Amino acid sequence: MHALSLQQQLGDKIKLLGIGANNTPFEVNLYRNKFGQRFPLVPDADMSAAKALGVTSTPTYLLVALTKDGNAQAPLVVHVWEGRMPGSADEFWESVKSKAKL
Amino acid sequence: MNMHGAKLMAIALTLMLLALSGGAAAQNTPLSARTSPVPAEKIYDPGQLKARDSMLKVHVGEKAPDFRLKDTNGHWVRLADFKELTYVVLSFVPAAWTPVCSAQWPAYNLAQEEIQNRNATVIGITVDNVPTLSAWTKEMGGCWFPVLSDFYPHGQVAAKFGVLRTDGTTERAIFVIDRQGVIRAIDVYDINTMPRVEELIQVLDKIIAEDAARK
Repeated sequence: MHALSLQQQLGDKIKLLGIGANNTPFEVNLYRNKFGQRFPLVPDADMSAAKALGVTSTPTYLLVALTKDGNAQAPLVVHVWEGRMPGSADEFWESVKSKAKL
Repeated sequence: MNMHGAKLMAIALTLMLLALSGGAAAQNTPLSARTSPVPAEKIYDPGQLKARDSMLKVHVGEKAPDFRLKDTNGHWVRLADFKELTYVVLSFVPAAWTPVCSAQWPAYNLAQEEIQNRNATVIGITVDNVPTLSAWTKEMGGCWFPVLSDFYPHGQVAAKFGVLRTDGTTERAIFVIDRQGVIRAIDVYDINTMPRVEELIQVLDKIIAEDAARK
């Protein structure tokens, strides 16, 4: 998805942030290096972020709006996908874009 | 400024880091499939369990008892087959399709190179039968290491090591065995907690350093 966002020059409109719930920094690093991920990945070893967001299943994707009409707003959850993404990464990316009205 | 109005940020949140790229990427890249945990809806949650419920029968410095068990293809695997070849990390996990276990081996998949670079392999063992282990490990996208069934006589190998619990499952435990077949490290974890990959890597590095110093 990150590659698609860059390819489609949407990098300034939509950012990806990966949160490794119940993962240590060591594990996050292993993952980052193994899969060559270039977007920010952060460990959430005590699952405080997962708990705060009420995330219980693996994986969960949240689409969060940070601005409205160009103005900053309190982060607003626009859409939540639980479980493995259905279909291909390309298809999933299209549905993310559609929810984000991009 | 922003012609599209809302500037949005997508956040991927996962229980296991491995799933960060999501299952869909897994369809195109088998590697990430192998590091995906089992989907939550397929997991049975036994709730909080007694942290530990058995007495070890082996100790560090002793020869590991040999055993022969069937893997997920129904082939016999013998511990002694690894002698002289690699360090062996014997990983007992309590049960297929349960929460922590379904993340622990995918983490070993993620750390495959880290483990193999240390001239070590993992051998996974549960008391589940072969078909169950086959289905469960397929759900993880497979495991690069042998996964053995200690199903019948039930928990015989777990009992030899002293990690068979009173309910017939096993402890969440690792035994690191060197190339001479000697047990070099034992960790019996709280069954409810997730063992960290870096702890295993640190244990292996310590043993490797000890062996290097001995030469």
